[in-house]
Amino acid sequence: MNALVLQRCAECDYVANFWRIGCPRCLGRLEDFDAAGTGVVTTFSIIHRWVERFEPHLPIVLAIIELDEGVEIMSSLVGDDRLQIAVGSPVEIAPEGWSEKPQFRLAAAGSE
Amino acid sequence: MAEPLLISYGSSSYEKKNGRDTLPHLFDAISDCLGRAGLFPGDVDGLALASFTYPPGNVITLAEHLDMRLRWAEDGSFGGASGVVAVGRAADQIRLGHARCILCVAGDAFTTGSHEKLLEDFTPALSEHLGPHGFGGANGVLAPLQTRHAALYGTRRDQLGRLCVTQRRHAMLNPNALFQTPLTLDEFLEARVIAEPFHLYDCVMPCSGAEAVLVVADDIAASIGRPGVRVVATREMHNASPGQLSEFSAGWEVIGEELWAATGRQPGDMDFAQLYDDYPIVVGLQLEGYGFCGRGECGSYLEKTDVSNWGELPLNTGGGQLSVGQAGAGGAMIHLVEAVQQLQHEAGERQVAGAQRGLVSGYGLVSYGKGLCTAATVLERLDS
Ligand SMILES: [Zn+2]
Repeated sequence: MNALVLQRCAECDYVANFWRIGCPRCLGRLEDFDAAGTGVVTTFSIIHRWVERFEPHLPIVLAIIELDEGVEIMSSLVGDDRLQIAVGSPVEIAPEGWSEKPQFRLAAAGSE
Repeated sequence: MAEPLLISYGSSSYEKKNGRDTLPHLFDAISDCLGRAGLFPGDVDGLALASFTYPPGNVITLAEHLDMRLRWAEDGSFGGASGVVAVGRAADQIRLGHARCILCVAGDAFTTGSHEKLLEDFTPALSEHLGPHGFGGANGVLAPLQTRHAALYGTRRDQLGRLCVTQRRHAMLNPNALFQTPLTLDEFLEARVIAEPFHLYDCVMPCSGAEAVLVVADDIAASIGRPGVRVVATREMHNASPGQLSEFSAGWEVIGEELWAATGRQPGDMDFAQLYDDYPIVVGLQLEGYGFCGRGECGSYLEKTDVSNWGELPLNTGGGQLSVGQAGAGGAMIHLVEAVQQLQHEAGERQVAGAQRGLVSGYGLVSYGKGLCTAATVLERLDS
């Protein structure tokens, strides 16, 4: 089961876009929280060639996603419709993916 | 105060992957560079090295290997910005009197598989957070810049491709370039896709090679008798947009404005620009950032402007990494080597007539969603 866990600072509410050892803004303690798992595609690439172990997953859609929490992360999309991605596409966390990291899918039309 | 002058340059013979090891390439570039100035390792008192494949050796073990006694040394860990950073700092060391003869060298040698392995583990954030997504290396991380630029400004592949076509013309006049046949715009557009929107000729070819330049105090330069090239001003910036991923700029606007203010020059005063060219969109973004054209206008600029060595803005006059090959960290130095050669008026058939000054940039250390390091310098022929 995919879940998107981010870190938020207990002192100043800074949200980290990838794992940090401590808060970059106030040096406070970061705590894990479950993110909403929804956001919008800022930009993307579609990867057709990469190292052999990823060949079953090509083409891989790699996207920068601005999450509802206000931070930008990089992730990949799954789903047969993933090549329909565009700048501005709404995305949501996918229930399952092939990566050990959380992956996204295009949000169903009208589900917003 | 001593004035630092770039006085010589050198390159190893580039090879495709699975050729000679890193040290022979570094040695050949050093030998070519020092030999052109009539100097030997014993004359060098400062050394800057950038290499991904030389470790566990480092700048000091390279000095040990070549019997150099150093008063200043730097291991450049700034990826494609390492060359410009090294020259800027070397010039400062000479101004301070801490060293007088500084060699800046960069290069790498790759085997099949070793380049992809390097890219997968290039930075901690890349290997930990993007590796499991099959992120496609630098191609996958930087292709989104072009996707977004196209979406916001309508930038087209046929506009950016003109740069690659022109750089190939320059490369065919550069004996060290690995690409020696013409590239047409149709071939560029129809090449196989790698990481959309990048196709084959948007991407540099990893190869093996090394590049070197020599910065010396002005009294040493006078005794050598080669044309001196002033390091007029240099700026660097790293992690320009902390925590942000979809910013186009790696600090180009900021350091560009500082450079133009420090030199009293403007983009239009440059006789050439050597802009770090891992991808044509990165050159385009730097054309915008350094003020050669407006924000969002790099596509139309490249469509309308003759950027050949005989045109309005000679750009990447030796063919650049896109047509010579990217010898790892050597790609950070190749534009400096070309710039010094041009300003010493030794570039042969690809010489920019009467070149007096130019801008050289570096960009690199591709990490989580962006390149982290950027640097640029304005160089000027001493007699100008
Ligand atoms: Zn905090």
